[in-house]
Amino acid sequence: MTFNVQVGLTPLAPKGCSMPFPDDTAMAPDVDIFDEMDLLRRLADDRVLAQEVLIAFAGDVRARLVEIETAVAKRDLAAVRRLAHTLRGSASNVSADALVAMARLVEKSIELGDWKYVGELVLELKAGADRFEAVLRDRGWLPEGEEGAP
Amino acid sequence: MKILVVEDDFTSRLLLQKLLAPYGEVHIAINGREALAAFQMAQSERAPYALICLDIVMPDMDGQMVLREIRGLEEAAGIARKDGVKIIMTTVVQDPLTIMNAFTHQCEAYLVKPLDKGKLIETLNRLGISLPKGA
Repeated sequence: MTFNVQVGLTPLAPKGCSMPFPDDTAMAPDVDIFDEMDLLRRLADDRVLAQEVLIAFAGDVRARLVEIETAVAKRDLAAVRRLAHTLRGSASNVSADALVAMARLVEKSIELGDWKYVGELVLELKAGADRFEAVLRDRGWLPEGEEGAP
Repeated sequence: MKILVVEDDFTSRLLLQKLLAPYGEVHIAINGREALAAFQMAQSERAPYALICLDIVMPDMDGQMVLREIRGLEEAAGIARKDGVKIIMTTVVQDPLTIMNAFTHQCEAYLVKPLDKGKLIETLNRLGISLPKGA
């Protein structure tokens, strides 16, 4: 399953943003919400470990998003940058490619100081996290009713 | 063998802990200050860490600072460079300046996330760290 970050989520350039938008935020139009093959390849086909980290990520990501939301509300640029960076690393470890791309966009956008756009991106990140979890459930990685525990 | 994983991210911590568990006793630090405290405690107990996996972007004290502090403490304790703890940076950061700084401050290896079991094992082998017999 692919996920069109540019069309399906937020346009890359913020509406009404008069500042130049960094070129390197451009990304491939289609990004997997979950690249299962990549995860299994990196873990040498260890499905037990893969499921363990997926459950851990799914149980942790919402708390991380709340931290980012709080940092955005406080206009704490350093915290938003660091938390988005940490989320990018975390999402990359579970091959949540669309979340990786969105977290990177938050990291880049924060440098422009457009807090309104960053706030919108955080909402998109939350929607992306919901979508990721739904895909995990659809594919049987996250059993119904299973709560990940940090 | 004692291993210290320094990570502020839960998923990365769990993954490294699971991948490294067959190699020895894995301890966790969730930030730079905890990492330094764990390092110093292990040194004082004469049971030092053989390997540290160190994230870079962390609150309060980043991994680059922890790396410098550890190398400084080793030097102050008269520990020869070849006898010091092996340090692998594990991070999303991949800009050349950050990588160069890490090697300047004497990390042994630099792994960019996402973590890859094969690359991790290859790196451990290169550093002379292998699975204990029977593992």
